[in-house]
Amino acid sequence: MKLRGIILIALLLGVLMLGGACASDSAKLAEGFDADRVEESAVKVIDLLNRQDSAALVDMSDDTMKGVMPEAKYQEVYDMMKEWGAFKANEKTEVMGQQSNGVDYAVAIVKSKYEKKNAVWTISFDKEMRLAGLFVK
Amino acid sequence: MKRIAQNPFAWFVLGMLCFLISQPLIRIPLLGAAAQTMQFTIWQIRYPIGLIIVIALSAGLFEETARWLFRRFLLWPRDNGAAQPLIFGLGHGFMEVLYFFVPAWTMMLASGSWSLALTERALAMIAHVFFTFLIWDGFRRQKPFRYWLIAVLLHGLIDILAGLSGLYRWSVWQTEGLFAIYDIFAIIYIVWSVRNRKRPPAEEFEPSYPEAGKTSGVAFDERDE
Repeated sequence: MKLRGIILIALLLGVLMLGGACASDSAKLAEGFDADRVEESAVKVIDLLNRQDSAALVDMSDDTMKGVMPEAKYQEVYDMMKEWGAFKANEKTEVMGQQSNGVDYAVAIVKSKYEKKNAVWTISFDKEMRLAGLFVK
Repeated sequence: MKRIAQNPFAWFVLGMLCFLISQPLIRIPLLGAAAQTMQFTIWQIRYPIGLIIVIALSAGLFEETARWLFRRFLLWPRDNGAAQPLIFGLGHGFMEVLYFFVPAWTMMLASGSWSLALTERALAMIAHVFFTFLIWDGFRRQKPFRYWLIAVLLHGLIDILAGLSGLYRWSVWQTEGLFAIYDIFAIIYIVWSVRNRKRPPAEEFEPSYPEAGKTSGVAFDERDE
């Protein structure tokens, strides 16, 4: 293989590794968060969603989340969840940190198994363990 | 089929098919399936820049490989003309417009962002023509794999810029400005490539040998690159 080809591939791998290195530190859980407590809270959020308890979900949300997801808005989530069938179990959970606009959050990624589909939840909490973000795919 | 594929209209349609096959039929479903996994979500948070780079390079890999395969097996004539890469590239970019732009047209009209979208699409079309010229030049210069790799990396570069602009929330016009600078270099290359086609590349030149007893009419040294 010619030298130029080797240099090109080395450059490519270097770019990929740089990209990985640049971001890895930002995923550490910030001080003040407890990973077990974050995981417990995420599981509680999923349980509330499964039971369609919008009031409890709004109660545990931060102000921004309350504005974006009032009680009525949760019905859209429940309508989507109806197509998944009955809840079976939370299969796997990963907890990590994330920063947004200089504010530290804890993020729990939970893979849940339902009767017809699997769902991957991304649930964020602030330092006071209030629900700050909710995303599912 | 060879007769049909020599028609410029066929080049345009093949360009459209090239995008359709490489993206909506292959890459986008694969990416969609990968995005549903927990691991993808973890990488989005843990390695956002790394993931942007991988996704951007995958776009380059799929589209440029498809372009390469189309050129290698489906396009005729295989000459030095500039019309074929130009028309094929326009077809490729046009299909991208149909796929991404048209479904969002009413929303863009309502939000008043259609002029921005048109600008972005025009810049993307120039890039597609540029990548097509790169791939075609690879065959013309008998270095198809080297030019394919360059096209993959350059395509990845512009998609990396698009990804980073979303991650770091650059302004739309900042992003389009970067794309415009990229396209200036793309246009310079296209013009250079077109002008370069008027003389055959070195590998295709046949040196003239003097007939017996006569001096050479064209000396080998007088070939001009």
